[in-house]
Amino acid sequence: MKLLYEIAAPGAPSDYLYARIRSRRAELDVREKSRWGRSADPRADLRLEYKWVYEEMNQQLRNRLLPVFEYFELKTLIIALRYMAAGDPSSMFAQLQLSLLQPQIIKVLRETKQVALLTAALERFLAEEYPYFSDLTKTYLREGPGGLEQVLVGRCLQQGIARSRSRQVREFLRYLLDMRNLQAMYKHLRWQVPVTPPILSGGGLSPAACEKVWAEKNLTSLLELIRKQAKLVDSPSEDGVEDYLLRGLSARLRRGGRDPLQLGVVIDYLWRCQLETRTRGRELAGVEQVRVEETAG
Amino acid sequence: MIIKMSKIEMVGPKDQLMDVLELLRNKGVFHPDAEVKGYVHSEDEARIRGLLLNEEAVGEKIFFDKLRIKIIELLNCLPEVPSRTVYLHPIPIIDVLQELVEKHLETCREWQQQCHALRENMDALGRYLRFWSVLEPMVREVNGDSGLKFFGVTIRSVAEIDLLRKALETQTRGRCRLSTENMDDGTIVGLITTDPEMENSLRQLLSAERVPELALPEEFANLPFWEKSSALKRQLEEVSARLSVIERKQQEFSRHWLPIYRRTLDWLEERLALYQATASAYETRQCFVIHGWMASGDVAELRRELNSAFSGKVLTHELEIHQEELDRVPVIMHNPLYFKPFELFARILPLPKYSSYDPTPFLGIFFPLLFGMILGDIGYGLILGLIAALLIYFFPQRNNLCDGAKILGVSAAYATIFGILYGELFGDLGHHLFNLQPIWVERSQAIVPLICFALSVGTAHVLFGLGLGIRYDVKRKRHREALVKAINLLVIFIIGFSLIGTLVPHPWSVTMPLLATLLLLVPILILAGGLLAPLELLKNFGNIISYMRIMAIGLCSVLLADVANRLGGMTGNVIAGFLVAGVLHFFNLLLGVFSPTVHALRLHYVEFFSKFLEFGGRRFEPLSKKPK
Amino acid sequence: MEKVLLAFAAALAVGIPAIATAWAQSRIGAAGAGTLAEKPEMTGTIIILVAIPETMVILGFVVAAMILVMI
Repeated sequence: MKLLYEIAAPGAPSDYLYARIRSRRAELDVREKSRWGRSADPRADLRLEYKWVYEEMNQQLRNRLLPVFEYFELKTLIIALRYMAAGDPSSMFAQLQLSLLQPQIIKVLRETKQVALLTAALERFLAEEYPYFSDLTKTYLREGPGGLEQVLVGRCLQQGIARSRSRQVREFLRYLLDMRNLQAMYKHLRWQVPVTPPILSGGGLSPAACEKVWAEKNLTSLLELIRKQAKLVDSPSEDGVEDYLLRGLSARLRRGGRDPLQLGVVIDYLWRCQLETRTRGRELAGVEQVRVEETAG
Repeated sequence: MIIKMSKIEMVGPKDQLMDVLELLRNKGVFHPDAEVKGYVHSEDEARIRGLLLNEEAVGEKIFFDKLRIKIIELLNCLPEVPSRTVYLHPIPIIDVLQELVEKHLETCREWQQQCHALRENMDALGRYLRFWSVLEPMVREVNGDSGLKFFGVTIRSVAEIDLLRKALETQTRGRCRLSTENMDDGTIVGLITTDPEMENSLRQLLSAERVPELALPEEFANLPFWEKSSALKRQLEEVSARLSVIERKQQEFSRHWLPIYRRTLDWLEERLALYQATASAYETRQCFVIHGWMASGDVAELRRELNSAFSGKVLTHELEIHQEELDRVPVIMHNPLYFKPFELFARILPLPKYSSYDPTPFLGIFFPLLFGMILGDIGYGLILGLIAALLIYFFPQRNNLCDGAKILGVSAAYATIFGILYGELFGDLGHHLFNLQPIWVERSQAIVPLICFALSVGTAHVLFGLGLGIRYDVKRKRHREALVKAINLLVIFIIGFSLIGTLVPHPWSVTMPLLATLLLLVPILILAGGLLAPLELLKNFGNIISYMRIMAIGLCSVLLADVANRLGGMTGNVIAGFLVAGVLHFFNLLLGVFSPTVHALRLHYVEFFSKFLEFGGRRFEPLSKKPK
Repeated sequence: MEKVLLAFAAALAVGIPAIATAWAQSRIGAAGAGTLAEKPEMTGTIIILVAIPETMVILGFVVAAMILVMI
């Protein structure tokens, strides 16, 4: 079974959807006009927007972008699992509203009370299509919810990179994978954890290069590697590595999204919606606004 | 036409800033500019700073803002009623209103909640009543007094009826009956009759199968079935009466207070807009300074009014507009009556720069001409003229439609004139019926002359555009661009002249001198415009060739009209022939409106305007009462 | 035979640009419909944009007419 629900309708021509998305993307630049600037529940708006894009796409486009949507929806699934583990079913149900997951998966999520039972059910449903789901219960029992999340997202990215036929999609997922590797190394180095961080293969940075930097145990050379990866003019600060890498990704996606008739438009838009949700969420929470999408490259 | 603008500096005593702004807003002719550069000498820039409101003004602003939000909230709670206009000044009662609005808001919110609850109740009761009015005859049919148990259910689709019936029979071993009825809105209502022993197992089945049971509220559930309907009606009437009492109260309140609150809100918004406008003002130790733009024709009157209102304490200076500031000057377009409707087409384009041209007059002159050249048919022209007249007569209020109709009217007149020249009345029908002969050329037979004509029109139009472009570049002191355009113009002219020579031999021998000039001009063109300049020249030729669409679309139109007549004639029956020809002519007429419009506009936007128009002008946004 | 070839050349001159125009218009039309769904005020501009590739078929038509009439 696929992770996301399938749509039989043929969908709109790609040019039509690109034009609509470009128009919506342009609206994001004028925050007062965009829905994110006024949104009371940015997460719900984000889900609504993703659902809209997913349903408007034609089969060809949907197949090409499936790994991207699977990555985002896997996060929904993981957040739902977290809420379940924390015993907060109402937040979990809210998370599942407007989700793109298969109805059977949502039904299981709603009806199952224990995480272990749920992982077993997910294994049953998804292992055939997604091999990384096959030892889900074991991973959960061995590593707990945090470890499960790490493993799932990493393997989802690896599978997406291996299966995708679209260059833009592969580049996006590769960057995310590299970002995870770099962040893991950075955290281990910064907090002086003696254990080697888990380095995932399949990204743009080779595991050998990562291991070489790790062997040096030098924060400066790691920061230099991060700068090269993000391709930004400024240097990363020690406190803002995640934001820095995200900025790098935003800049890269924005460059990829400049061609009006390419898939990059959709990926750029989906990503910018994520950033707007994050910014608006911070605004609503009263945290000083940090617009991570501001690009320097 | 683009109106001449003046750059204005206003200086006055600081305490009179708000009054000056109010006067300016009432006049609605002044566009404030928050920029200092270009208005003040650089050595004086340190002496002035952005105006900061004093503590009292900031307090007042916050007070007004809060009051405004509350009034908006209150107005959202009130129903719309026809109300009088109030002219009272809110300042004397503003404190009272501040206290009152809280109380009113509380009362209105309570009314709104009550209304909401009552309406929901009414909806639910109405739903029950509708279902029950369908179920009641069914219960009566199966004898409601027999001690049997009844379940009212709603069924989603016809396909589910059989499934449900099978499931019921299995569950109750045939001891139940399902009758169904369709409701007006398409919902299917089912009545399941069974004996009391089966009640629980049946309920489990319905829950498992997710068939929604139609359960009445507690107070109705225990009533005998023949009383349910009337009890529901009674309850509905009672709720409805309570709702109308509250609605009456709301309307009464609205009639009394709505005009007052509306007037206050308008005043508050105007006042807050004035505070907003202070953002573009500057101050020195004693004075305020406002910079901005206005139409030169309005300056004298504004100066007079400021003098009389502030006894000469507020001074207005007209400053010189420097070359580098031309792009910052806001643009106002004003056109004479004939050209006004053509602003409809000009609005599709971005605003031109202040020093550039207003595209409207060009569209007004050339659009109908090109339209007429393409359509060129007396019959179609007259029909379109009639349609335009009817639209103007019946929809005088709808501005865009009326403007469109006026354009159509002018274009139809040109189509009629060219129709006379081409000798066309519904294609060749005029020739057959009235022996109508072309004065100038018969389009269906003269493709080559028409190609020459279209190319000549194109050449003239493009050369005119280039001429305007040269004038604009000289005005903006862009001599190199002007030179490139001039060479382009000359080359096109020379080649055009030589081509004419191949058709009509020149009485004098000029070919060699022309070719020599051409050879001389090309290197100058490359020197002045760079390596890409010859490409630009080729683009100009492409633009001229593009005018051939005048011939091509026109020819299609006339051939379609001929086909319509021929097919009509082939039927051999007057009525059938009239119908067939009529339908085809109707379609040709539709195409005849759409195609020439789009292509004539395209010739303007792409081929003509690209030679001289520069877009990116700044919109004129004056301080005014209503946002324009 | 020569007439057949001329007719064939004229058909190609108008047919190939017609296919090209149709292809270009289909893409511009789809993108235009998308733009209009978001910004209905762009109607006028979109109509003009859709008409722009028609130049190809019009020029093809002119060439075809010249082949048939002038040669």
